[in-house]
Amino acid sequence: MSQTVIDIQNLIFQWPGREGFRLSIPHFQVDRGERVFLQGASGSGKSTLLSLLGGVLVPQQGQLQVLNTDLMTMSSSERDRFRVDHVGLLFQQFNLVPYLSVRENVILPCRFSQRRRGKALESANSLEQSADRLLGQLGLDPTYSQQRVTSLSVGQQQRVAAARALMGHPELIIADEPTSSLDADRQSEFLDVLLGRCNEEGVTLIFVSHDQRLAHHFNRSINLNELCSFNAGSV
Amino acid sequence: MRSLFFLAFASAWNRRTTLGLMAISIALSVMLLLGVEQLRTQARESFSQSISGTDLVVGARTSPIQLMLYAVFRLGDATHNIRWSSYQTLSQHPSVSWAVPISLGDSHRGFAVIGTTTDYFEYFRYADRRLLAFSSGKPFADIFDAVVGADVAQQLGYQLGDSIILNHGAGGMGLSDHADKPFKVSGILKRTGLSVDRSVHISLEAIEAIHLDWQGGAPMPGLSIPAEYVRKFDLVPKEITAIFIGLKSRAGVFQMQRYINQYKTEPLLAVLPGVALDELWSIVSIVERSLLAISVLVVGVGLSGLVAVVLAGLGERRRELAVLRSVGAGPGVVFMLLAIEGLMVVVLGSLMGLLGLMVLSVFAAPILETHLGISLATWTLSAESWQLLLTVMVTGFLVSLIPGYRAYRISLADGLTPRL
Repeated sequence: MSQTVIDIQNLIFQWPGREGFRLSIPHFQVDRGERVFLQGASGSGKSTLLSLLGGVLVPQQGQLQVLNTDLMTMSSSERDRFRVDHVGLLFQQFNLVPYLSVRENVILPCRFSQRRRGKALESANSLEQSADRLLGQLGLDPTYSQQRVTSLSVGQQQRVAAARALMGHPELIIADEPTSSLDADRQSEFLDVLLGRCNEEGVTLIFVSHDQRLAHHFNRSINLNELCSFNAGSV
Repeated sequence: MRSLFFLAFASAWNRRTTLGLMAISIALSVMLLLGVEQLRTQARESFSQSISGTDLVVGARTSPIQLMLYAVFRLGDATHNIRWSSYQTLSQHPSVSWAVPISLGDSHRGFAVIGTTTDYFEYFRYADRRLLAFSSGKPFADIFDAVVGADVAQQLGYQLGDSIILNHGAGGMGLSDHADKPFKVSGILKRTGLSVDRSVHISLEAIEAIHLDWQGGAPMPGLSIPAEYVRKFDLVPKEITAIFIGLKSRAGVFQMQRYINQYKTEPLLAVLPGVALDELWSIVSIVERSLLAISVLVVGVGLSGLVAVVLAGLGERRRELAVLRSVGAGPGVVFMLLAIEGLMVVVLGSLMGLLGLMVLSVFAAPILETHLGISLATWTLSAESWQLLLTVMVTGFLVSLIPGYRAYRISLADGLTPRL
């Protein structure tokens, strides 16, 4: 298996029907096990890039391969399937389904992906056990697992979201500002446990943030402005 | 699939107040729909049960429906009577097993008075070939004995031995009465839910007797025959209003009907009660169909309310849908979630409606039976009701596809991050 997780060549994306709005990435490559910090202010094309990597959007030109799979030739439902099987997603906030318990939230990806379900069960007797173990590794006491997510603090909620992203061993985790709603101490704590987990499981991490101060946690740091040229439209 | 239902249920449970109210509104509309359908079926059944075991109803030549109306339902008046001799001929016809004459025209405080023979209590059947039964007393034996129906006894508070006075004609309007010849209550009939309950039964001879000193619908001036002398007169009736006939074999019913309709001596009409009742019902059915149409509309209102509520809630659920999408739920799954939610509410509502109706009918059955004569005693859902219920559920599922489709569009447009 090749070591390249993300391979982008001469990619151009335009929103259909919106002239001038254009993202182009000449070259971007991420290897297996890398933990990449992507720094960029809001409006720098961050969410568009993440949507491209997540297979929600498709570029008009160029090459976009994730885990040696060409996303551009896949149908939208194939991309959906690919995403749930191989990519864990983590957002700034409101990551969780409010009416499910902590544990059920963590298990969610396994409800939609046989692959992740199978992988989660490789090292545990049940999905519940696997979820509880992950929560514990992320510093959440198992007594929380039966609770509703709405009773948790924001920091705790983000750990639940991280556990869910890691559930079932996806190869790639894409995190979009997951620490921006936490205070400085919590940010460090959270990053430590997240990076620790990724390191141990050999997961590739793409971490996007506007906050340059976090860059030292990662083994590779890239500025979005250097990576791509982005034109938000003629003003 | 199991996790889909689990998710749909958990999500619905989270919004249980709103959805519960929707289910209740659907339950009420289903109750109305099934209630109307049930009443309709039962009313029709009660209607068709008003006479059974009688093969032919014979009267003076008129329309079959009119004959049924006055002979069976005591509605309206007979335009003509038939001769006693015709009754005698018909009752002795070889294929006739029994023939019960009735004579109408008088009333008692708004209730019909029917002159007949004691055969009436032996042969007149209704519903599933049930005979009339006495709750107390016995058939009339003396000339001035009267047997009253359950409603008459209840509403006027009559008991055995009470003395009653009959009115001439439809009565009640201060018209002349038969005060000189009072009757004694000899029997009270059990409730039937039929016109029998609202009738006073006396012998044909009694009808003759109270009209001895009458002519042309009024007492003859200067002539009064006291009650104690009537037995000296010939009390064989000259005319009767209608005859109920039972045949030895049902196979001969059309032959007999033709024979009576072509009766030489006087113009007669024989009708098959079942056929005439069907004709009569087809007139009444316009009302029942309108009722059904209204309740169908009410169900429509309930279901569109459901769609409106779910659609309105979608805006607040964009975030939830985006999260589900990011953990792997495709737009198709989101669509299914919404459809399942709608189906759950509709099925729950329908079942609640069904249950509510069953509970209600247990309480309502005695009241309906008493006041409307509609028997709800054996509460089983007709095939049509099941069909209606199924149609409601299927329609409910189909309209739930509308918010499902909307959610599908939203989750496609939003991708992984909701645009709020």
